[in-house]
Amino acid sequence: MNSILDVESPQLVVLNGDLIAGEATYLENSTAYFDLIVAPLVERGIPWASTYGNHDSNFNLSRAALFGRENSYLLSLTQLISLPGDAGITNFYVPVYPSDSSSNTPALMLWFFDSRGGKKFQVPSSAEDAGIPEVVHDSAIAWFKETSVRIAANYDKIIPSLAFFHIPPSTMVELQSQGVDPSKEPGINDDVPVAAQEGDESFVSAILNTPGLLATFSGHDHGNDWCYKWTGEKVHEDESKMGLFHCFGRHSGYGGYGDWVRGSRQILMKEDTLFEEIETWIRLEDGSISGSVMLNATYGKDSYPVVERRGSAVK
Amino acid sequence: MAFKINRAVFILVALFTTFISFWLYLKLFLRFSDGEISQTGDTSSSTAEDISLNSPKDLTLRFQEDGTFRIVIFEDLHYGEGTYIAYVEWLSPV
Repeated sequence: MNSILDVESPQLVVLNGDLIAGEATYLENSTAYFDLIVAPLVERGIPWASTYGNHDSNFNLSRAALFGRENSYLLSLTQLISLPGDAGITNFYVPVYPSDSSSNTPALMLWFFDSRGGKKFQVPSSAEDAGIPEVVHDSAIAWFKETSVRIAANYDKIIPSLAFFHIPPSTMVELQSQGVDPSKEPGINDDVPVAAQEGDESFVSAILNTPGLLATFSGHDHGNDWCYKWTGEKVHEDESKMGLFHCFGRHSGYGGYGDWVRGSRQILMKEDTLFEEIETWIRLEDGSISGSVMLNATYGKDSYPVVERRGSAVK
Repeated sequence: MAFKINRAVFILVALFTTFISFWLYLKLFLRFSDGEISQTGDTSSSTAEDISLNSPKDLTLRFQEDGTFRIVIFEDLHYGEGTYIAYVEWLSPV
């Protein structure tokens, strides 16, 4: 994290799930790892927002306790919105305002979803109901649909947006099966098939039918870091000239499976081309750049250098 | 005289060894006593007050003056897994 933050200058860090390996923690210190995670961000004064992943819930680690720990930091933008049912924690949005400080209308909206999963707190794993479904809860989807409509109505405009969640949508399995072209969708593609959300038709429908949503970002599959132009029925093509994209990030931590060189996905948004393009790349911890692409109307047709699969010297 | 010094050194060594043994016992007890039978709450010993936080500031996100906004995504950190973190935790008890 330090090596990447030394060369990138983000206005926001997204911690996109599986912050802690809950199954490897002890009750007395399960959430204390969060202090280690955010120490580089606190040191630099960089605000962050989190989604929690399937490993962030386990017998000795609860999402509520993790949020309690995170919420003690002033730099955390993660919010808890009261939703019916077991919707998880990290369902919220954060507005980004224009550079013109006199404007009160957000220029960009960032949505965060809890794709849940893992095991229930203090419920023995042998219990039948110990597991938590790996899908965004219906109440979070309803909240998203209602709130995005309300925001558009309040500002009388479609505000471009990005969405972040840990477990990718099931449609990525189908898209991957159609073939990930290494020169047109550059990135490592070692996790086949994609491990995705289960029973997420409502969530996918909400994403595809949200005007202004430009791209979604997930983790979970450590061996994938490609971007794909989302095919399917979209209703906001008149607003967006670029299409809708899904990108995997890059395995950043030294926990979890895989020996790919660690890194992180970078997103560069430009105020004057929000509905036209997003620049994104993977910054590896050795300082090099991998899979730099422009998400725009011609993505999927443009050619890029093929990403070399590289293992880390440190396992 | 030599006997008295040797005796003093012996007592000091014994006290030190006892202290280290007790400390190790506590560490091991705390680390390995939380199996799936534990039903107590999260008893993390360090609190928010222990943590050095940045001073309050306006966290409103805004595009930079050059019209850009940059996001870095870190994911799948899996803290707590692996020997490195265990080592850090061991050296920095919470």
